[in-house]
Amino acid sequence: MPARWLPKSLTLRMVLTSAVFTAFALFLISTLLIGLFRTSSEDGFEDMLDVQLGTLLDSVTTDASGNLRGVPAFSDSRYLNLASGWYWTVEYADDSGKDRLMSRSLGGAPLPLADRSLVPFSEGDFKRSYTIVGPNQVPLLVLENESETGENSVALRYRVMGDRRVIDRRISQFTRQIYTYLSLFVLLSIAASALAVRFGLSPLHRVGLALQQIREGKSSRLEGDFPPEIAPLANEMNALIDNNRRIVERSRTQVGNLAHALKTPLAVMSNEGQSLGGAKGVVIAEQTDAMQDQIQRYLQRARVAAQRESVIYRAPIAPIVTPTLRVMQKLNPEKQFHFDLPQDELVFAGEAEDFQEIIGNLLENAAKWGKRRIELRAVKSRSSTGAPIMSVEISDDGPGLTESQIAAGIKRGKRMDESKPGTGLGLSIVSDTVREYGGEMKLGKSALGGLSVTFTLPLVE
Amino acid sequence: MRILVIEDDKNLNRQLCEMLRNQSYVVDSAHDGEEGHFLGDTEPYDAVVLDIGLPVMDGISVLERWRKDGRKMPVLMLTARDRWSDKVAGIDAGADDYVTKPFHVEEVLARVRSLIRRAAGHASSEITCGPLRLDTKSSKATMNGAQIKLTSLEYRLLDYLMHHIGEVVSRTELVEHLYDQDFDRDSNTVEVFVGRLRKKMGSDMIETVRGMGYRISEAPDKPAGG
Repeated sequence: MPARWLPKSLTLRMVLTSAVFTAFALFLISTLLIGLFRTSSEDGFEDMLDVQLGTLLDSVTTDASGNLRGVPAFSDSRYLNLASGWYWTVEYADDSGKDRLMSRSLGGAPLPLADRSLVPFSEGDFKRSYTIVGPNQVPLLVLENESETGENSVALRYRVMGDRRVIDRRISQFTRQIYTYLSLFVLLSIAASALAVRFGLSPLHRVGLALQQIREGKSSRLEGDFPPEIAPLANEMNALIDNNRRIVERSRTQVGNLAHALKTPLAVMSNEGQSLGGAKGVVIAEQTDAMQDQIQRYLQRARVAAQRESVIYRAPIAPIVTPTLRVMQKLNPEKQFHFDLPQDELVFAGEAEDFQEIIGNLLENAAKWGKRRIELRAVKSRSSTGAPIMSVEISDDGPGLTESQIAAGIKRGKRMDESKPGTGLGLSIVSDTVREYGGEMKLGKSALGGLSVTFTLPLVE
Repeated sequence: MRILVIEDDKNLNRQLCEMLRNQSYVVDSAHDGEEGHFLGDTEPYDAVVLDIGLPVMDGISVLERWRKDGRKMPVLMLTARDRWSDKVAGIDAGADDYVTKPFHVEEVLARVRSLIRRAAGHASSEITCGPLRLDTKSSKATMNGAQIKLTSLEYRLLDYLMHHIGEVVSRTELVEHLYDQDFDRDSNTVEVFVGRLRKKMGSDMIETVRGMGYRISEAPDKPAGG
C-alpha cells in the first residue's frame, strides 16, 4: 500500500524522484568541485609565496658579525604598502632576537609565531605553512623556511605571508558561481525530466482520453494507436468491453427469445379464453393476462438490472428522442409532437434501450390520451446529493388524472381508464426502470391541461 | 375489405382470421414470410396483419420488399419483441402501426379498422355520405337514421364503396376486395348485390358509371344505368 504522503500523480512522482536524485547528485558534485578548487587555489597561493620565499632566501644572509644583511627585490609593491596583508620577515631561528629584518608593509610590528608543535616541518626540508592572524585581524597564510646561511652557518627563519582573504574570496566567488549554475541546471533538468515524463506517459494520457470518450458515450471501445507497452492493456480492456456487451446482448437475445416463445401461446390462450366466454373463459383470460404481466415485468427488470452501474453504457439522448418521436408522429398523424432539448448534449448514464423504453412508453401513453399536442422537454439538473441528472417531462393535452389518481401514484397494473387498450403496465414498468437507475418519477397536471409525467435519470457530466 | 393475415402460429392465425371474418372482412392467410410476401405482391389487400417473427422470410424483410416494390397497403405489425428499438425498426421499414403480443383480438381489429379508415382519409369510425351513415365499429349502416339490414356480402360491398366515396370503383376491383383468393369469382354477381343494396337503401346513391364501374356519392338521385 503506497504511503499517504506520496503524490497520486505518476508524473509528479517521477518528476519528484528525478528532481531529488538530480539535486543530490549535483550537490555532491558541487561539493567535490569546491573542494578541488579550494585545494588548487591554496596550492597556487602557496606556490606564489614559495617563489617569494626563494627570492627572500637568496636575498638575505648574515655578515661576519652575525647581523642580517640584504633586501629582497620583490616586484610586488604590496610588500611596501603599510598593513597591505603581504609581509616578509627574516630572524634568527633560535628566537634569540639578535637581529630581525621585515618588509616595510609591517611597519616594524612583530608577527606572532606558530606553535611549532602543532605545525611540523615537512619531510626533507625545514619548510612549513600555517595561518596566523596579522595586523588588523587579517588572516595570513605563512610560508616559513628555516635555513642555515652566511659564513657562520647561522640558522635563520624566513617567512613570507599573504592575505588569505584573497583565496577565501576566490573560493566563495567560485562557490557562488557553481551553486548558481548548478541550481539552473537542476531547474533545467527538472523541466527536461518533466517533459520527458510527459512525453513518455502521453500514451497513458491518451488511454485516459479514450476512456473518457467511452464514459461520455462518444465511443464504444478504446480507440487509439498505443505503444507496445500499453497496447496489450488496451486490447484486454476492449476484449473485456466486447465480452461485457456480448453477455448483455446474449442475455437480451435470450430474454427476447423467451418473450417470443411465451407471448404467442399466451395470446392464443387469452383469446381462446375470451371466445370461450363464461366463468371458465374469464378465468383463463384473467390468468393468461396475469402471466403476461409477470413475464413483462420481470423480463424488463432483468434487462435493466443487467446493465445497471455499467460504465460502458452511455447514451446521448437526442439520437433516441428523434426516431422515437418520428415513429410516434407516423402512428398519430393527427397529433403534434414537440420536443425541447438543451443545446448541450445530454448523455444518459445508462443503456440507450432503457431510455428509449421509458420515453417510448410515456409518449405512447401521452399519444393515447392527448387530443392534439404532446410535448417532451429535458433539462440538465442536480440531484439532492449534487450528482448530475436530467429531468425529462412528457406532457399532453388530454383529460389528465384527478388529484386522487395522482395521489394513488403508479400502481402496478393499474389502469386509469378501461376504455382505452393497454394493460396498465406501461407507467408501472417505466417507474420501475427509472427507479433501477436511481431516478424518480412523478405524475402531475401539465401546462397543456392534461397529464404531466416527469422523471429523473443519471447524467454523464 | 380484404385483409391478409401472415402469422406462423396456426392457432393465432386462425383466431385472427375468424375474428376478422366475423367482422365481415374477406381474409386470406399465410403462415410464412415467403408465402405472405407473394400474396401481398400479387393480390390487392386493403390491409395486412404481419407478424415480425416469421419462418423462411422475416416480417421486416417482407415489408421492406413490398415498400421497395411500391406496395402501399397499410400494414399492422405484430411483434412479440416489445422493445422500442424493434418497433422503430418495424415502423421505419414501412409498417403503419404495431400491436405487441400477447394481444386481445379486439385490439387488432380496432387497429385494422383504424388503418383502413386512415388510408381512405377518414378520421372517425363513422363514415357518412349524405343521409347514409356507416359505423365500421359496429358494422351497421343507417339511412336517415333508420338501420339497413344487410347480409355480410352486402355490408362488405357498401363498406368498400363508403371507403372510396366519390371514386369510380370497377367491378373487378370490387370482386378482388369482396372475395378471398379461393372463391370462384364472377363479376356478374356484383351487379346483383348492387341492385339489392340500392333496394335496401331506398336510394340511388350508388351510381353506375357505364363501362367503368360504380360510384357512391351524395349527389341527388339519378336514373340508374347499365
